[in-house]
Amino acid sequence: MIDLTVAASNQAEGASRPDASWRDYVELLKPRVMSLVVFTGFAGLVAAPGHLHPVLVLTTILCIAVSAGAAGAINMWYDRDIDSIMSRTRQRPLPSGRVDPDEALAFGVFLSVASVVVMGLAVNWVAASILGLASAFYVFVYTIWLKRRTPQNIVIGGAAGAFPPMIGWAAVTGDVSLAAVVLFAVVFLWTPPHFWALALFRSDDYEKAGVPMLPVVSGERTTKIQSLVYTLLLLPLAPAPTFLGAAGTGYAIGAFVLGVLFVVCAWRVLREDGPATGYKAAKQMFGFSVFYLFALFGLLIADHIQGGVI
Amino acid sequence: MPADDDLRERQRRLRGKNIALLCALLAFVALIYVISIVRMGGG
Repeated sequence: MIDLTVAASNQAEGASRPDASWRDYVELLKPRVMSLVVFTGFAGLVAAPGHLHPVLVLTTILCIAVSAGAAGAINMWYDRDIDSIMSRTRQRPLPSGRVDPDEALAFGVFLSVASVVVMGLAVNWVAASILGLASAFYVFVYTIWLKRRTPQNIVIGGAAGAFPPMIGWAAVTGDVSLAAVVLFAVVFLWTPPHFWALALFRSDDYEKAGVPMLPVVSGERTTKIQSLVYTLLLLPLAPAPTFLGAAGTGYAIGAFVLGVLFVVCAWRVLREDGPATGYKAAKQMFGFSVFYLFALFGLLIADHIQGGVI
Repeated sequence: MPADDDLRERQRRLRGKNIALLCALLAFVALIYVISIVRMGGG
């Protein structure tokens, strides 16, 4: 007779590392990053003119979430060598050895393809194409090409994370209008100051891993000045959807106030002597940048839910 | 015994993964079913 207990345990060893649990696979999908992506994608869905059946709205959100997570899994597969060096990423499933690299790659590729196909069949192929493009951009352009080669990695690579509002918009309308491009541009300009704030107080980690983040290559002062420039560019751009008819006045006022606060954060970082203060202002700016994006797109959603009256 | 505990832990994790996969597959089938209904209804 076959001992099923032993067979099961052998299967477990053969298929994956013994310590892998379903939680490790969830962790491969970078759930925290996914939440921002889902939220901005949902805002694009809500802001777009037209109507989409609630089931298709749910499908769109699910596809955006799964696709972003899958790209994150492939990113973790490719970056497992540097992830094992940086203290922030050392405990991830791949560098800690809990998940087999080949399994992580297969998991990511399967979910990427599946999310694009489901989006195309269920919603429309314009949205599916942008979803596939965003995923490919994140993996091939950012992760494989730029990340280890240039300090402009997150400037150009940031485009990948800026696609979700455009995808949400395209899911409803079947095309890409100027307002959708503006929402894309908002996230695109938000990305560099967000990541550079993090890089300022994590530059040792990036240096150790050989990732040419701006503070490592060009120094703190250049990073701070460029961060301030991006927040200043964002200040007039974020309220722009109002002037394109995609949001109400309340959104424009809120976006402007948030933008001013973001500029203040960047200004405080510029004046800060990081090593002396423990990068307090940079840490605050990083936290505020996350709040900024949630609040900005939250305003956009609230504006449309209330019919543009706020 | 430590070896038994290790085996039991592996089986527990394997069972957890199998259940998670089953749930994901069932959810996927249900999603495709509902999408089909909506699309056929002109949604």
